Amino acid sequence: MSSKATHAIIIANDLRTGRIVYFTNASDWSESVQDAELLSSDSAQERLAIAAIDETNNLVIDPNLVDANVNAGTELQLAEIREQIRVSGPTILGSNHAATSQAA
Amino acid sequence: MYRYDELDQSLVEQRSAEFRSQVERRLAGKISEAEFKPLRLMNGLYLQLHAYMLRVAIPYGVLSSKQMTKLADIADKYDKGYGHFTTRQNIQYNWPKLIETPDILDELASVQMHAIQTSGNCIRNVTTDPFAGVAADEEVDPRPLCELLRQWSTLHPEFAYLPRKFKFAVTGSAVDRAAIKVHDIGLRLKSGPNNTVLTDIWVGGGQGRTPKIAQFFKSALPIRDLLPYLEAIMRVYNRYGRRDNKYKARIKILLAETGLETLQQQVETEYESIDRTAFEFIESEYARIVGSLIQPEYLATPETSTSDASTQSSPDFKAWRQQNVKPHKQPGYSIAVVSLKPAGGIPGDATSDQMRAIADIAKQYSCSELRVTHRQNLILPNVLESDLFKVWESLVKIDLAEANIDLPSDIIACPGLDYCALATARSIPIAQSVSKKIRATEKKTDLKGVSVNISGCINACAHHHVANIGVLGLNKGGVENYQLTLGGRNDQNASIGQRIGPGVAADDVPQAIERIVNFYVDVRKSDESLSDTFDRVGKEPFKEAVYG
Ligand code: SF4
Repeated sequence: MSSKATHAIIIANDLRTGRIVYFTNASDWSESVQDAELLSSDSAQERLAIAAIDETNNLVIDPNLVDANVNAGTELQLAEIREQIRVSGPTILGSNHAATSQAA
Repeated sequence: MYRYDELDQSLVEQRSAEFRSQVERRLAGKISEAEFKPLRLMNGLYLQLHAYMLRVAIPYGVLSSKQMTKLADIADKYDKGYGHFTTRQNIQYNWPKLIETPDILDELASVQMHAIQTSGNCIRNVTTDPFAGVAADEEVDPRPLCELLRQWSTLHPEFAYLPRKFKFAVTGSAVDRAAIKVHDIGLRLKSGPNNTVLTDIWVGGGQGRTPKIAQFFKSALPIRDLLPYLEAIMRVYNRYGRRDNKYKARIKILLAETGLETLQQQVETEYESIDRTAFEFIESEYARIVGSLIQPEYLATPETSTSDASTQSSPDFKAWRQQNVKPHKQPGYSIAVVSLKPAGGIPGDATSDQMRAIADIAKQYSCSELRVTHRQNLILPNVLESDLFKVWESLVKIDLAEANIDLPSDIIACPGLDYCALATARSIPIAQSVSKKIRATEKKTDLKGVSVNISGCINACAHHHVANIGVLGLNKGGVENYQLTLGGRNDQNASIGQRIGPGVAADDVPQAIERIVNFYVDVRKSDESLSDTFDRVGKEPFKEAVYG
């Protein structure tokens, strides 16, 4: 986690589906970013080590820490554009087909 | 089309069964991700930003209506109802699940399709002229050679672990529509004496971070000598190609570091040492493939035009016919190019409904055959001229009648940062904004052959280096930034574009491209292409037009 961010979250891909999943404070994985555990610099590495066990358990692939800032106390803002797109889905305009978003 | 035999069918079925067992072992934890990754990549399965991505091979870009319908069904059943046609004449699905991929491969195998060698350091899907076999200006039909190369390179044990991926492109026309000079090996077929076929070989082209135009390597090889010679090139590359640095591992770097003459000498020495008895079958196999091509039953004296008055009065049809219909070798027939670039749309994407509809159109009007182009469009290769209006009407109904082939809005764009794990910036939304803006200009202007290609990173999957207008998305201090290059060409006069100045912000790309096009229109001489004009007037005036 970089010094520029206030927090971090842990993101991975689900092995079976490939979909983005977030590490929760119940040490579980959720497809909803709302469930992501907000980590401080004190706890980030320790929680990542716990999350990484699920890689060995063949549940997820490549769990890693992603910088996040919490604005106005509530809104989660990821620091890098790459991670913003991973979380919110393709940014394609209007689209000539349906269902490109992550949620679809 | 080439008719696949029982051997091909059994090969794809066996491969599918093998991958099912590999997936089962992965899910059961018997193999690790590190062990599994090369296996899934050998079956075209990547892990991208949001999900897995499956790349399906479309050998030399040729598809039947039945296969296209199957691709549509797969998009509905296992993905999100669409597919993305790529610059390698393949199709990608962006959302498959690992647990369902073996089922997808089974479905593909049921129509002789597969995902073998669409990834990894092996010989990839061979690409060719999308007008192969039907172009009015064609000298030799490249499809039989492409099929011979497909058979030779599929699961070739010696070339499964090359220093890097390896790409072939083949053309049989003087006008190069297959971009052979930006491939590892480019082959130009010519007719020789007594109905023979001769091949000129170009080696060492490529794009990525070190773009190179291929060098002329060997002249006029007859078919019987071609595979041993290609095998000699591959062996020399396999032996001497660098494995210490993946950015220096392509044959273009080996050629640059070794020198043309030395590399040619090494290949000749290897060629002389090859046991030719193993290749004695080539001429007869080539002849067998030529005989196995299912040739459309062309009408001897087709109607050449329709008398329907509505065709005369439809300016949209006229524009489509002028822009998207190309000359066919058979009198009374045409090649219809179906643009997958509606203004503001996603280049190369088609919904399952569009795929099914176009499969039906091909069935009704184009001998059940389709092609995929490296410009991410589709082709109906055998349309009676008298059917063109009905084809256009059918395309209008599915929003695929944009009359913009070879115009600036016919943009090549890679998946970029919206999907691709390697991307540094987005490509698709940029392409959407550019095409929306430029479409209005190009409708008012008589433009010929202006290509705009947008890549989301230096890997250059959208071939931006050889576009007349190239756009490369980078990340500058956390912000997307786009470099512009001008003057590239991907045809028989292939050349690498030049950077014209500092990168521009995402929002400024459409305006920059419009300024380039407007400046070109203002200063061009008669039939000059944009790259010709760039060569004549130089970089500075274009730079002034964009940044001034
Ligand atoms: S050019 Fe880069 S971003 Fe685009 S598809 Fe290729 S690797 Fe991905």
